[in-house]
Amino acid sequence: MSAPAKRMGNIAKPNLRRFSAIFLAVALAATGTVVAFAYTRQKQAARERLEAAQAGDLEHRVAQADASEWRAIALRGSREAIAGMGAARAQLVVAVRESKGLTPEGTLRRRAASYETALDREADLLQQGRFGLARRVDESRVDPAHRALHAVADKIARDQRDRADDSGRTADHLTWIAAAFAVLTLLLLIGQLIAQRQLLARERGYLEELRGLDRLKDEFIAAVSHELRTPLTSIRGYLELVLGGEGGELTETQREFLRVVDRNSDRLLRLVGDLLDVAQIESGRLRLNLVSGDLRQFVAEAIEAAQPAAADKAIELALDVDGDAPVRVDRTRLAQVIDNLVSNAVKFTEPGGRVDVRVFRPNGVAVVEVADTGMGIPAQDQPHLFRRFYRAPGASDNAIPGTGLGLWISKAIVEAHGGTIGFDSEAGTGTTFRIKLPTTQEQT
Amino acid sequence: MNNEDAPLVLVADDDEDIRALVTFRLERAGYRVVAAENGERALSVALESSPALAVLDVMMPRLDGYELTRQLREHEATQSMPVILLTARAQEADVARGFDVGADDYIRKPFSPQELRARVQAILGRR
Repeated sequence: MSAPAKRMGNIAKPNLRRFSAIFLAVALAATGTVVAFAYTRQKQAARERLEAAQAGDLEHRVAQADASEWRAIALRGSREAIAGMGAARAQLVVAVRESKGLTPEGTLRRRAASYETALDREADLLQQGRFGLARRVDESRVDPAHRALHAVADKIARDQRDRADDSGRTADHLTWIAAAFAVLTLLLLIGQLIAQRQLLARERGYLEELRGLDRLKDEFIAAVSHELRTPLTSIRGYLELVLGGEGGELTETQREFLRVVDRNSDRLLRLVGDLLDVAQIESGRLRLNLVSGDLRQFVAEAIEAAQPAAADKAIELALDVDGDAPVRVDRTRLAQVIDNLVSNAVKFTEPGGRVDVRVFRPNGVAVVEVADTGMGIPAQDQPHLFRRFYRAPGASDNAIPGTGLGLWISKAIVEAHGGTIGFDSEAGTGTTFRIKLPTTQEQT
Repeated sequence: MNNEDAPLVLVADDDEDIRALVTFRLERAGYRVVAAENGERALSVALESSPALAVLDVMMPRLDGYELTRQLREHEATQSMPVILLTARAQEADVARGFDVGADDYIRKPFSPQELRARVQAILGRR
């Protein structure tokens, strides 16, 4: 992962904060809107009730009143009605008396009886609150009661109107509060968005800057690597000429000194190559030119190339293959990895030791093992082995040359192939590195 | 060694030491060499003297190795002249680009003079 990519990870946090802030603001705005809507509805309902009360008849008004008011009206109404009935009875007595026999008493009594029945019925209905029916029984005869009821109903209607006005005012206030709340929330949301945008722009600026620096670093390393290769080509080319006797006979001492130059120019060349690889990997420009083939063959070629170095140290370098291992790999890159592991094994093994390379394929995975009988890696050094520029103290102490980039590069290459790299090691006994690569289709 | 029958090889590189190194190695191998220090000069030399083969550096001022190869392919005299590119850029994309413009082979810098001689001989035939 390149440095800017790592830094990008940190930007995700303000994003999360920003989203939660937006969510909160939206929730608040929604709540405000709902509250405003609810109060507007209530206000509307109150207004409707008021209109109904004004337009409707007594029953409607009474029906609109709540239970306790309704009972009060009924009681008051029936009390007035009963009082009215008392007056009616008195009128009846007067009427009988004043008729002075002009009207047959039987008729008068019948009339009075039916009148009384009607009054009683009306009183019952009134007591039950069935005002409409009572009125229909005989409106004129219960006028006082009706007037009283009307008066009560009017008062109730007035009260209701007042209350509706009140609740309307309350609803108005609440609507205003809710609206103000919503506006405030909106302003808050806009403010938050602007702040986030500014923060993001600033972060983007930093990120651009960092990316630019990273690009510059990659370009610098690549340019330096190229620029170093040209003089190195001359150095190594002329060395080869001189060592090849093209410049005349050399004394053994001259030859020995020139070999030191040769060895070190070779080291420098490797370092340049490694730096170029690191720059390529870090900038994500490591491209694999994949070809199908058998891992055994690729490994055999790499072993062949390492044989002279092993022979120089009297180390036995052996290859053991078990069955085929069809893979799709970048040959040059894979050879670089095997080369790195084998040359490491040779470097860290005492003369007379062994390096055994095995290729096998358990459970559809192609495995390459490079096992040496070298000094091993102490447990405390093991976690750092794949770190860039890391050199185990054992390597430095024993003046074993290396840049500390080989394993880092190998890991990157193996992982770019979809494989893994690991090792087992015991100080004093030896180290086994293990590469696992995905295999292609089964072959028999 | 430098008899008139020996094939003429054009060597183009802006780095004087490498130019001299390649020239020396090829002359030792029995070829006649004509050297050029930039792409434009290499083009005029190639058209003038029709070399048997050209060894061209990719990174050259004025006219780089790719463009020079492309232009050589446009002239009848140099249309089929074998071209070996010297490249310090060891990337596959550059190699592919070299073949695209008509190069016959490439050698990565740093190269050993021995390797260069082997490649040239492979194309021109051992003398």
